[in-house]
Amino acid sequence: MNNEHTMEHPVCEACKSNVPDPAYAFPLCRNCREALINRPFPQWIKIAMILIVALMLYSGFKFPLAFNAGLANQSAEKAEAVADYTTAISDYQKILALFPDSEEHKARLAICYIKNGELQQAAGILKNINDKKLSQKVVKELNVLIEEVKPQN
Amino acid sequence: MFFIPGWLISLVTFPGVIVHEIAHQFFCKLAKVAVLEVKYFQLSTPAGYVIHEIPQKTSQHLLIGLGPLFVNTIAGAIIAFPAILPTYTFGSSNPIDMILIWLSFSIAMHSFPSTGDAKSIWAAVKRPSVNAIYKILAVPIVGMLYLGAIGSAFWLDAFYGVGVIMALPTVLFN
Repeated sequence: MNNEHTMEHPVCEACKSNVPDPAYAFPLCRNCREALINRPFPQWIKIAMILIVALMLYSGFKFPLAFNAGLANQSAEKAEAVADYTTAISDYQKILALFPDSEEHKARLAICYIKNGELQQAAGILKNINDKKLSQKVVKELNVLIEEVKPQN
Repeated sequence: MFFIPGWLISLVTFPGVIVHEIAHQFFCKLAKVAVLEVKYFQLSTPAGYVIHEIPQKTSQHLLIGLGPLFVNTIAGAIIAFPAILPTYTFGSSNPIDMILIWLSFSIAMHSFPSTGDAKSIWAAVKRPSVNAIYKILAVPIVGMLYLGAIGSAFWLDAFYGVGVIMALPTVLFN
């Protein structure tokens, strides 16, 4: 009997009083549907969203710097490959202005200086990276170059 | 392959779960579909969920089901980029970069729709009233969603997360 009553006069699942909107399969009245569509986010979720958006903005702010450094790195590698050491030096300097802790790029800059005949600049950098951990490839390349430019007795 | 309890993975990568559920709720709002219940994060399975009324249109189903895939993937890639490059290319990262990498990986890892989302999309498109084009489009999508959900047992979601955060620097500079 009760079921029949419910079938004839269905009520909104949320407020249990109003008549559901017949246009939808799930029985919700217009007001409740509107409220559930626009269900508010809890306070802690809003705070989490603000934090995530803030970090995204921080990333967005850092994006151009990282992008330019990436471009400079790509350009430096290409310039080195065609022995255009002046361009490579300028690109590595740009990278080091943004990321001064990049020991590997300091070493690459030193290599370009040596290959470009700017030994004094190279010596300054080599002194700086003397005790730093570098990749095997760079160390090998540097050692070969240093042997080549060493004054012969 | 080693086993780590799902709740522990969810706990470590909780920002991704929250972003995934926020995206579901946001797309429900956009599609004008009533949200009946939301759990943004919990330490059980599933780690989060959004229960909504059945959408009337297939496009609404697809929007709600697939929305988090795009939101989490794009957010993960954007947040990661300025932190990945200094860390892996220039060997010059700071603690904030580490936080950004963890956050972006967590978000990207939870991009995949769940099997529940896949079931919901499949149920929507297999209705007789649905256009054949939707059905043809849905088959590979649902297949991929199931593959992603099943693959998460074999760390596919984690591999996807790593792929997303490494993708932009790799595509742009290699």
